[in-house]
Amino acid sequence: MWAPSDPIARLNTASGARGWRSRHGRYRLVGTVCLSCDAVHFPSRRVCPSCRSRDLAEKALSRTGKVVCAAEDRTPLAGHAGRPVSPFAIITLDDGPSVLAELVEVEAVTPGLRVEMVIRKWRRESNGLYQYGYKFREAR
Amino acid sequence: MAVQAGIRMIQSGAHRCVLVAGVEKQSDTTTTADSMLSYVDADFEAPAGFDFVDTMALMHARYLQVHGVPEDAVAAFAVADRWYARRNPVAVDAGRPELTTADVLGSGWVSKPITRAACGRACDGSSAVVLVAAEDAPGAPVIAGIAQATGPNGLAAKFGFPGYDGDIVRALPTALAAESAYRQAGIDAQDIDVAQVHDCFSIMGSLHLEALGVFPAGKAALAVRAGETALDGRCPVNTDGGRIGLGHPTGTTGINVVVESVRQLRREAGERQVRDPEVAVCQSMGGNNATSAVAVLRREPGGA
Repeated sequence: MWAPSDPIARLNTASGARGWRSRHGRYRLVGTVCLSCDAVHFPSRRVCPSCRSRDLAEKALSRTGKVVCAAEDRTPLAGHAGRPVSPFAIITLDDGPSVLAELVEVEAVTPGLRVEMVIRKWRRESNGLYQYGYKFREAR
Repeated sequence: MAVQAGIRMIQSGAHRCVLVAGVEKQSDTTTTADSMLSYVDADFEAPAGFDFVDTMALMHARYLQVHGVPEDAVAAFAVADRWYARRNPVAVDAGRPELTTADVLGSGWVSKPITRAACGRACDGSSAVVLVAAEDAPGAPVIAGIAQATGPNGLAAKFGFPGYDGDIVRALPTALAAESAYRQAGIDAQDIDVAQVHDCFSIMGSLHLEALGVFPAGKAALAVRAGETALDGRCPVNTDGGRIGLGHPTGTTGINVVVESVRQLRREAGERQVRDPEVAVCQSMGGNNATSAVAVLRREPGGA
């Protein structure tokens, strides 16, 4: 399905540097934890939205969680051509924050389904680079 | 928000008369993909393949799940919009036949549970309003209150954000902006005679109506299906056809809702005219339900 000869979609994507800066979040679900009020955030924040503290530390979040609600994408965007019809969901991770992610290797998606993180291809950026990131599959 | 900036210019005393214009020319400035991707989170949502139809499909799914509302109730918003739009000569759906909820539900999935006919209609367009201080235009409709509020744009991030009570079924920025605008105007939700809400998808119309307090949480979609937002209903909504029927030229939608409110208050809406409206409320949203502006307009006694 994916090959270097794939057409490069004409998309207004962020620069390669922007993608590089988001890599910890995309590959390892690194968010932040507030050292004053213990709130956990994803994506990372510089200021805690709960208590306004700037005293935050990075934290690699749990790679497992459960589905809160799901929908199904029938019209993949440019850059995702050829992608099969796929469900996607809000997933609440075991240590609190929620993420929006595509689901792979699942049969039926129901709220409460246990899922685990995997790394999959996201899309080819307009600079030609492939961006990878988290997706979730049924927990094994 | 542009209207709010215009009001502040007059209030500050720097200007006496301000023209606020919005323009959208989606057809030649961006690809559809670009415009669809520019609303969602640029680091973790857009590159992962999510556009705003997808994020709003999740709000739709969550609404059905939390409130146990049938799908045809949510679809009824598009039906109501079409009723008004076919009577509005400048709407993209002007003169088109009536829709039924079955038509909406059978129009094909975009992002399940959102169907094609439940989507706002991307188009070009423009609209403008002229603002002056109330004493300079006696009798003209007045903007009695206006406010704007912002929350996180990332859809999943709303779950842990203070004020959201861990969910996405509430349009929190709209609720906060409405509270402030109503306070400035000295009204509450029961006083609204006609409302314009940001129904970029059928579900969003219901979410905003609930946030405006027109209907209680979980009841807006059912109320729309029951005809409470129709011209003879309790609170007519989106009397120009809304984003689904009139069209959604995004760059000017926020001004267009003000234009329609004024038209209603001046009683110039023709076939779509609500009976004797005194208070009109309009609302506009940006991003993933991330920012929202609410304005309260009032007809001056004896005004035109």
